[in-house]
Amino acid sequence: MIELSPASSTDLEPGRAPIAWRWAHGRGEVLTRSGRAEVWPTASGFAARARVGPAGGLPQLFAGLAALLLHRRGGVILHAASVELDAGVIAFIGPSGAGKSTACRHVDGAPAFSIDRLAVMPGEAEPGRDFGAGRTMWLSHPLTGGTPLPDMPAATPRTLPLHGVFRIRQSPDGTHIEPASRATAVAALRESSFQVGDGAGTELQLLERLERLAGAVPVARLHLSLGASLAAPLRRWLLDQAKEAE
Amino acid sequence: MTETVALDRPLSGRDRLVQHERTACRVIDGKAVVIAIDHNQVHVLNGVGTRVWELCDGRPLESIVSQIVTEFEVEHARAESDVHAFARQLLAVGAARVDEERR
Repeated sequence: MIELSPASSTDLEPGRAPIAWRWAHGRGEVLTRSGRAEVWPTASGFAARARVGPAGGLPQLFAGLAALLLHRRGGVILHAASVELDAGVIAFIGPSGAGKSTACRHVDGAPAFSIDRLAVMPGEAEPGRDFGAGRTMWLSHPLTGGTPLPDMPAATPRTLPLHGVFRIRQSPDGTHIEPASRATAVAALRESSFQVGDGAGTELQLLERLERLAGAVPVARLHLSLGASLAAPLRRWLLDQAKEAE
Repeated sequence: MTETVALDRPLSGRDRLVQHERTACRVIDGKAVVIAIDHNQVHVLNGVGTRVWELCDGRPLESIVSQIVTEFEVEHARAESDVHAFARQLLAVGAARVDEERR
């Protein structure tokens, strides 16, 4: 029997993308429905300016600028809540309402790292830290956005290795982690990535980048039952992945 | 930009399907990850679906069916039914379009 139905199909989150963005003549430009922003390099970093209409929308413009700069460094922005665990970052992805913040609360003793947006980019491995032969380490850094979790301590914002990405599904049948094929992992990451433009070329570039990310960082589905602690199962699963990679 | 137009007639074996220009795709471990940009959707196709997708290069649908029969152990009637159903899905989600000029 041949099966021709799509193995899975997911809606991307619309409305998060700038209408247009470009980098030309040493400047980046982002255009959204509510305004326009520019960014340019300076001796000490970057400077930016933005103009928004009466409806607001400044956070979306600066998110667009951040995505633009990160894209130039080979990175992406994930719509992710994350925690700091064992000197690394565990990111939870999924559509709004999937339970990302809830998952954070279920990792005992791990402070919240990002609430809504997480910048991830390929980086240099720390001296003495072994990520396996030929594996690129991906770094993560929290971006502003989202409502802080009043019942959770916040980690100090800094750049840490990304240890794993989990696509959340709430489940009444117990907490368990299900491996994702590389293609499914890339689709899940794309579902939770900020768009970088409106063309097929930029989409393809983003897919290639996410494929590299999925090749370097474990990505899985996490079926979450309320009340079950996640710290031990996450550590165990990541350890198994590290052993497999060796 | 090529708009996605719903097909208001049955597909025929002479229809030529092409991948929509407003898509992006990577084939990873034999499975295609397809982004339908204007529909804001990402799809993961299974192995046979990926092969059909790859064959959406302007050749007639009946030629795609023949190719599937050649490459997979499946009877022609079953392949024809499945390929046509899948082609309709590709059209519905904006991943492919019928090349009306070459009908």
